[in-house]
Amino acid sequence: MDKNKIKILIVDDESLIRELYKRVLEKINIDFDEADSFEKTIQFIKLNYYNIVILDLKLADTDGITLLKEIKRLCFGCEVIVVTGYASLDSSVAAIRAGAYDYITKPIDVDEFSLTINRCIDKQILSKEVGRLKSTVGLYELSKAMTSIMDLQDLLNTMVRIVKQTLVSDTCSVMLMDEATSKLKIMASDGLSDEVINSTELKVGESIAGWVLKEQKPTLLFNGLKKYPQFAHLNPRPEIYSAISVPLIVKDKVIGVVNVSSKDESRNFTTEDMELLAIFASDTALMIENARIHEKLTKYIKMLEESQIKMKELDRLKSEFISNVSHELRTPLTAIKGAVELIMGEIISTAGVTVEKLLNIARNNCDRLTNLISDLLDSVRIEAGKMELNMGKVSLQSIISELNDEFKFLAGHKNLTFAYSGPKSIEDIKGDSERIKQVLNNLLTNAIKFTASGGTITITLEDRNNDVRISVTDTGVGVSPESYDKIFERFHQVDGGLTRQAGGLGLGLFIAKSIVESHDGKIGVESTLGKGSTFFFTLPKHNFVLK
Amino acid sequence: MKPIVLIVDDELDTLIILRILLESKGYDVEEAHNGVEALEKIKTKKPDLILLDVMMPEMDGYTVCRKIKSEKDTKNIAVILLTVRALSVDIEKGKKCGADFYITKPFDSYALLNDIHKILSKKKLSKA
Repeated sequence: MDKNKIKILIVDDESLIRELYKRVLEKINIDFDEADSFEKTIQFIKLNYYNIVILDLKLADTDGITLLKEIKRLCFGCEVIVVTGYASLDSSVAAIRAGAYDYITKPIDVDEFSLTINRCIDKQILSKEVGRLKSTVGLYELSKAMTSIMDLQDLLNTMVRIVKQTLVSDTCSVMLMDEATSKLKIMASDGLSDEVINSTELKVGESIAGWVLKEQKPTLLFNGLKKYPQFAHLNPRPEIYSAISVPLIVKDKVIGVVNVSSKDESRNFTTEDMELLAIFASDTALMIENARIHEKLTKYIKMLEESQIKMKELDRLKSEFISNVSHELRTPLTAIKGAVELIMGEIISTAGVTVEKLLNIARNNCDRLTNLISDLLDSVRIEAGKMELNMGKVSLQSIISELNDEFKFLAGHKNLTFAYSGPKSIEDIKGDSERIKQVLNNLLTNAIKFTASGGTITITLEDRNNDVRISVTDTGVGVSPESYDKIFERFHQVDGGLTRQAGGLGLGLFIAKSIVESHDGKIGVESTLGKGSTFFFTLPKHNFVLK
Repeated sequence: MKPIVLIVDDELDTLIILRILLESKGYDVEEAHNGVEALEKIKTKKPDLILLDVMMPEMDGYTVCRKIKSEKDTKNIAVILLTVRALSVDIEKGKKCGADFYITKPFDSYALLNDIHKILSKKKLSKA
């Protein structure tokens, strides 16, 4: 700090005395203002920062000690030299006690005044220098420590905490440009309310921080905004007395703003504070940018890793699917080919087996192949969003009774009990009868597949307010809760690999779900592992208006 | 004495067809529906040859084959893997677990009978 940055306020109601001071100050080239009353003095102090005040203790309109105390309160770090009448030692002592730097007596001895004022100026310069050095060293140490912080939020939090401490401010915040919205948002703060943090979103040029961002100019403000033309139209937050905003610049790009504010009238920020914050901001901007890049990279790496895992899982599902398709196609073909070759080779005659039995095997396996192929085609149609529904009246009771006959027979093979519970009659609903039958067929096929002999399978039909609910309850192996959603996914099978218990391609529930959902219904499962499952689906009644 | 052939498959239709085919040529046929049952039947029935499916519940065919080939009492039993798995990696895997032969489904009935016959004659020769 040099002398020409020192500013002095002369407070005396005698113009001759002020003239004398002025001459001395002009000689040593010091900037100053003059006040002749309590009122004026306070006005000046609130508008400007003064390093030194020369105060006549005997002003007409006030008690000098009161004004001295007020000056000390309002002007942080300011030194006051009091001027007392001849031989009024008492008031000089009182003034020193109240915080005055020194006193001189009237009549003024020009040499003594020069000496005192010069000494005070030197002291001010020195103490500012020391304070500045202390803060600079502190912030330098901080910058060094911060280079090791890789996490963006950690970095910003550390920044605001330390800046607030070093500049003795009430609040500190770091605002960064959101690249997606091009708006400034508070990313870290100390001393601000949640309401302010969450509601503040500034466009470039908007409000003070937006202006600083746009103009890239460090800005120091105190005591209202009226005297700053670019901010005069803004409504300042009433609790803020003084504030600094500096831009965060990386190369030529402004990435954000650092703000500090003080509520206390005695904590006026100075140009030195602003310069210090600007230096700190230029040091940390690059760190913030690096941390942001690091954060982005980390996110990309995580995404890559996740997609790699997904790809691997897809790859596994794909090869499992190919192997399953191969199994599901070749197995019935094996039976068909075998049966046909036996008949052709007239081997049956020697083995005493009827041709009919072999033809039955061939036909059943043809059906199995047909079902498999239509499931595959259905799943392709669903995936392409091209499954068409043939809407009409649907009698759920006739669907259930058809399937009941068919599955009672199959269930009998496995020694399963087959039961139905539901109302005697139920109104027709709107839907694709064949498709709805397919849903129930798939649920029943699964129930038989996964229930050991001796078990029970129950179809339940419920007539509810807005929909009907059809459920298939078995006493089979059950489904674990974490698989409730997965089993409805395409190709998902409860157990894959070589030793799977059940055949199939993992399409049945996927197809069932698509059909139910295309009818605006819901499908789901409730189950206890080892005890059994209930698969249910609902179909709405409300849209029974045939087009 | 009739040679004993153990057929192992979880598909009932396949078992029916294999039984008719093999009995027509005078083999004694035993059957098992999964890998675990197969290992039990091997102990009690002491088959000369096993037609072994790969994809089965409880224990897969590769594992069953490895067990057979690693036991002193059973390692001389001929094993034909009879499976839908037709990729070269599967065949490689079959060889690695010690199978004597690898046939993919659907198989040719008469070719299968031929292969069984050849394998059993070879076994007889080497014994003599």
